[in-house]
Amino acid sequence: MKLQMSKFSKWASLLFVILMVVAMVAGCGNNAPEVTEPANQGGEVSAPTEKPAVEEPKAEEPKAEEPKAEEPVVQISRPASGEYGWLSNTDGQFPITIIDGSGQEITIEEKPQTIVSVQASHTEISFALGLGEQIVGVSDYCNYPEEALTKEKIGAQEMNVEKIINMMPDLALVTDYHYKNHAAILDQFKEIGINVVVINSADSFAHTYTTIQLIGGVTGTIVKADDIVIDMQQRLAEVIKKAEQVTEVAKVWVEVSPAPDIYTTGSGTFMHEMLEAVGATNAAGHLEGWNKLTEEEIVVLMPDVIVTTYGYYVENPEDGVYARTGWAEVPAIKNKRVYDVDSDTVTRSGPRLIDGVELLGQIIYPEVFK
Amino acid sequence: MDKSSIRKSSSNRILIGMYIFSGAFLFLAALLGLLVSSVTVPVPSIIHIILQNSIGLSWMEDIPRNLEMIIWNIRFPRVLLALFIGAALSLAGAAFQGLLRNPLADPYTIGVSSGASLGSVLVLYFQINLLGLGSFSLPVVAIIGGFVALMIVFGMTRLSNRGMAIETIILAGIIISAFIGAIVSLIIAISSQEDMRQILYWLMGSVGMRGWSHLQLFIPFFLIGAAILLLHHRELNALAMGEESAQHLGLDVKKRKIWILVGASLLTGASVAVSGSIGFVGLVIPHLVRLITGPNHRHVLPLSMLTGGAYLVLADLIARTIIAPKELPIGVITALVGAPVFAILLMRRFGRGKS
Repeated sequence: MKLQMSKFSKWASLLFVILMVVAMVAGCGNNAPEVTEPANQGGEVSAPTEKPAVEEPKAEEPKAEEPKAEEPVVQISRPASGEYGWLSNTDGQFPITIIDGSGQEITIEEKPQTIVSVQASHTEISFALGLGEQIVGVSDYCNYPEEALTKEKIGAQEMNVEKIINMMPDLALVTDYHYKNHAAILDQFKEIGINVVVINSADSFAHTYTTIQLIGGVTGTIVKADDIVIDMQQRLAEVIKKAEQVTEVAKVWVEVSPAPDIYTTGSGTFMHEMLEAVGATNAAGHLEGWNKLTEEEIVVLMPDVIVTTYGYYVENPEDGVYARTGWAEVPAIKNKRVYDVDSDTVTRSGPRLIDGVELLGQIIYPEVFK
Repeated sequence: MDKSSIRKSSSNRILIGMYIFSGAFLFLAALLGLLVSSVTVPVPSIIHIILQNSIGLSWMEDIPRNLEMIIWNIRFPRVLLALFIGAALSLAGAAFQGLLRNPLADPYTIGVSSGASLGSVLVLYFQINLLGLGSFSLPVVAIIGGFVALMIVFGMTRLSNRGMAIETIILAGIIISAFIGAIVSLIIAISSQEDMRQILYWLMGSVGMRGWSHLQLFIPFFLIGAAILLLHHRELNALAMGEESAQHLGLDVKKRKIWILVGASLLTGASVAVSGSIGFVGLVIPHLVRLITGPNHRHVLPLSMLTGGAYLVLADLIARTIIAPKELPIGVITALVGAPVFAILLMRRFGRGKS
């Protein structure tokens, strides 16, 4: 009898152990924080900063073509930290002196022949300004335009300092992140003759315009920069004008990362500004910045349209949303209005932002924005 | 009598050989770390730049300023930092394994590293800039954090056990580590994506983008901590028998324990403060060294330093060249290499035990 008992208890304890292990594995499965969480890859988070105060335009461009927009033609606005200032006549002639994102005066003697960019948005802007030849180094995340993929990679938030110093570019475009955390390295760059321009992260259209103009100014392409900005402003004005025709305002829920950690864009982000421009309501507009919401909180919002931006690393995101249990009553699910958009066009502070706005308009109000 | 003296001299020779080998290994590793990188610089230039900047010896002209900067301001301090941190972690690991009489002990067991990690994470999350120290704030706050964690562990131990028993210290350390780890997870959970990436990257450990300033901050802690531990090699040997036996051997166990803990914590706290938590160095290296030297701490401690330093230099070399121009976090390399090595050591132990 003793033998039988011990055999039974042996199996019982084995079963117990297996159950515990299964429970632990299931529990541990969700613990690893997903590093690839947000939709954008280049660290381009729109952190909730206060809206930049608008300054009177320092009219330096010769042709002041007035667009039909409410917004003035050329604006220099002050970002949250530091300011961009023009201290010399910016008719494209070098040397020019500016105040960059770190608040320091930077003088660029000659037009830079070689440029290194550590952020995807700056790379896009530079290419749009026609500087494809001058760009010699890009970040690991620069993927637009196609030509950017052929350039030498020099790191991103963690820069490959040796490589950059070896290249000795005339100009290095860095971000406020690098200034805050690796100011010593930026000083090293300056010591050996690399011009360093700190560009703060943009979180609004206005800020993006000034970024484009700043890059244009320091690279001697200010005229093209103004063209791009005016074009963007005009197209945005057209979108806003069309949005006036909207009769039924749609409530839009934006997701930048999939379940179970669903993050959305509140006020003070690009998406928010875009949704307002096309005449829609941001379901998360009452929150500031990027926020994580639970499924219950989202369903309660009852959005009419759901927009996801993580299609580039999740297959068929729309199906994932439709498959969610408990969401059957949500209008967006009932009317099959879940769409995925290219995250680069809606989160990257570059010239393609305007493409993102127009795309959003077409998705949300197809009758109005044909 | 004669036999033992003969034995002693031959084992002496082995030991001397070990020291020479480790020293040479370290030197070669450092050399390799200097010569090989994602950017190729001709070897004579490298030697010249280093000699010129350190002892003023110069025979070449027209070395481009940027090459000099790469070697002297970036690569050299990086290799040195890897060397010292590897030495520090291995030394602390050996001391902890001896003190706690636990082969699984590593520098992160008693919570100092958690405290340092929390300090750093707080700096990253709140963007603290202490007294205008700029990027220096992070290591300083981290060291303070490590120290505070150690104090809490000591306090907790004292409250539960007057004699500061080792088992109690381990338990208190694990509790504090777990708690602080939870706070770090909390901060990660509520931080924005950008902060989160920054924090996680920092936690994975790196010796890059540091420079001379971080090295200068680290060296004093290293020297003091190493001195304390190296001088306590006899005490560590005695403690290996158990605390009671050590007491009977005449050791002031309580006092010595605290000294050893403080020394090892100085090394660990400063390492984590400067380079994040690089794992598998303090755990594996002492075991490797003990394979050859046996358990005598007189030799285990210094040889762990030498071997650990070489190991981390090579790990950093691999981390920055294997997928150049991208960089892998150094903790990944040490784990990928360290875990299999540890497994092999484990199996050898079992093998020996069975026979």
